[in-house]
Amino acid sequence: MSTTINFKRVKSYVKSIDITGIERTDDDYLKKHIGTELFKSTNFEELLEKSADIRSRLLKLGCFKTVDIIVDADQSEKSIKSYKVLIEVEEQGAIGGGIHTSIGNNEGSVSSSLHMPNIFGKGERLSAEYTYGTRNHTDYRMTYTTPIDQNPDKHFSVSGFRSSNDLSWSKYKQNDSGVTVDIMTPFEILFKNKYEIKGTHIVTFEGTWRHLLSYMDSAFEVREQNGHSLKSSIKYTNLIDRRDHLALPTKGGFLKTSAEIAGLGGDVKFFRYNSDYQYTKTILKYFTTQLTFSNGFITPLKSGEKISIIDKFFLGGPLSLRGFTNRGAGPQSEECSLGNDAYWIAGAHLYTPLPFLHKNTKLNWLKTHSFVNIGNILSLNQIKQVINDQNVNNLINNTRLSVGTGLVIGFGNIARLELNYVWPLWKLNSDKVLNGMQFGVGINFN
Amino acid sequence: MAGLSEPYNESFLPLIQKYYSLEAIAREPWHSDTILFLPSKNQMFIENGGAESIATSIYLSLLNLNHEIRYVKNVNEMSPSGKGPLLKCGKYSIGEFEPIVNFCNLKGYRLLANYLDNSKKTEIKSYILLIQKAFSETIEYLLWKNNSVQKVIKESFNQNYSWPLNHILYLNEFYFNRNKLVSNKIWNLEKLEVLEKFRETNDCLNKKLEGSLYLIGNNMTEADILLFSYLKVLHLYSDFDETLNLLHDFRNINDFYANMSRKLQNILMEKLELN
Repeated sequence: MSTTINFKRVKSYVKSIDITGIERTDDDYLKKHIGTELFKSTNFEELLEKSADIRSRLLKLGCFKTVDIIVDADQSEKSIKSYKVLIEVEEQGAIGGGIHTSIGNNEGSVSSSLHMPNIFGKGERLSAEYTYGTRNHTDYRMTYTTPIDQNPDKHFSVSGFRSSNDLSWSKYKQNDSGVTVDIMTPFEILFKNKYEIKGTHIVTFEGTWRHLLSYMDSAFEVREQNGHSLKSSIKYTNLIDRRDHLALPTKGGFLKTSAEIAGLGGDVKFFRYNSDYQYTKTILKYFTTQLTFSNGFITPLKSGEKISIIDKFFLGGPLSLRGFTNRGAGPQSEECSLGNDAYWIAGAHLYTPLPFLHKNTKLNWLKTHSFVNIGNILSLNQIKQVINDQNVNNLINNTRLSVGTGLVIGFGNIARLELNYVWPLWKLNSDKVLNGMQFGVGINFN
Repeated sequence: MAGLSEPYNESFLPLIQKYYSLEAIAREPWHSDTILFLPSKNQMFIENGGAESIATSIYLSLLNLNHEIRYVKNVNEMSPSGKGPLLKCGKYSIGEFEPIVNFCNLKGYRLLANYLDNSKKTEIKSYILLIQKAFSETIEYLLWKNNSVQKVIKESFNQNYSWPLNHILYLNEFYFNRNKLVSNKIWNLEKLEVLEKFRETNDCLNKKLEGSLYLIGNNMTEADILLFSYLKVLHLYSDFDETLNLLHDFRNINDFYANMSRKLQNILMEKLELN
């Protein structure tokens, strides 16, 4: 014989909350996140729900390894409705660290890190990281992060970094040293009183000393930009990500827009805008369709000022405009990609499970992939000319188009690997194209 | 190398040969859009007073090789050797006076004196090295060891770079030059000792110029152009007056300077806007 107990009907109230395992975390900080709502519980179901809320809130603080909540009858009270709640936490170690490998855009890297979580007892974190990439990329970074207004969703962070990158497609090396200050806050919009949209505002201040050093055989257009520059910029980024998977989504939209103004100090002065959109939908159970679009432009703050190759846009690569080599579309000189002021790229993708294995859910990370990519990279003068002449033929004639098919693998929830057979259909003579197999690994894709 | 014009100093060849074909360099005519990049005018002082820049422009002008002069703040970074001036001729980028001379030689352009026999060519090279060492070390010592000059040097960094990059790059440059002078055993010497060494070298040059208009033979060589350029720098900046005063007793050097000034007056005025 089985009976069902409706916890909603079980009257209960919380007499006390005990916390154990606290060594470094600030009492007031903890009290703020536990709150008093548990004491307002009137039935047992409410008590359990609120306890679960508190547990997830405490875990989010990043101060604790584990949080266990035990609800027990309060023996000291005669009433059986009285309960005591015991919160057992295990704090993160004072110093932690690790070594891990990661995949960036066509580059593997290994990172070693050292971090001090909850350093002052209120969710602050100090971390130091060293990354070495397969393309001679190195990065040293020290970051201090603290919640704003004791809210773990809002962050303020300061980083000091020194990095070195080898941009072999444009034949130069770039050494950067600088400071970034980030403020990250979440937002919610109720669209048409129906759709709740959650996103993040990110405001970044960056002060970077940049040193560009060309190869011995670089084109003169690159060589003449050698030397030191100081960029001081403020950037606003708006991020809405409703995808169910970062690398291989089956549904959801993604929107990232950013606007950056450089010239608050230093000798680099520009306005730069960039946006990325993605929308993914699965139809007929197994067919995932995806539309992508990215665009951007950069303009100097004063007419006549030059934009450095470091800040310009590039197009082409196995995860962007497929069928073109990395930075392969756009102006070139002596095998060096020079970049340009504006670009747009769109993609239409179709993902399907492997033939005859569509019911095997364990193979969700591996799919067939067919695509069309179309895009263009232009100078601001070309755009002005198109507007002045009211003639879009120039714009259309320079557009690049490629189609292809292949396999895509989603690594964890971060990177994706693509192996495609590609046909670049529309190209310019100066472009570096790749007709045939193309392999790429990365985080961002179009 | 058979069939090619022999460059003046063959040590220049391995670097350029690695990236360019010597035959192609020799075959291509002098480009009409050749540019000689020099340090910006407010930087010239810290680049040994711009002596090598002056010498290079004089050399190209004497050979009637057309070149536009452009002053940029990043000439050292642009130069493949890490030092300016930089010559951009067609697709070739050649840095520093001596490699530029060799580049011109390879293309078949040379001063009359370069048709001398091999022993004379070696002599020219030796004098160039002697002048470069004696003058550049003395000037660098006077620039970087002298506290009163540091203000002028810092000001040139302030004019070319924003804060705090101006301070960072000044310190970089200061320690680079300091370490170079330390390794050359100059930094720890007293000023009088450095000037004495400079005087001794000039004594030799003075003797060499006895009864002759030029250092080697009867024609102007690259060594003469370089010596004149360094002397010009000493005359241009009052910070080097002490050094210039040492040369007052060297009559042959003074005659050499006056003679070269007369001959090169037009080039100095038109190309470099120097009086």
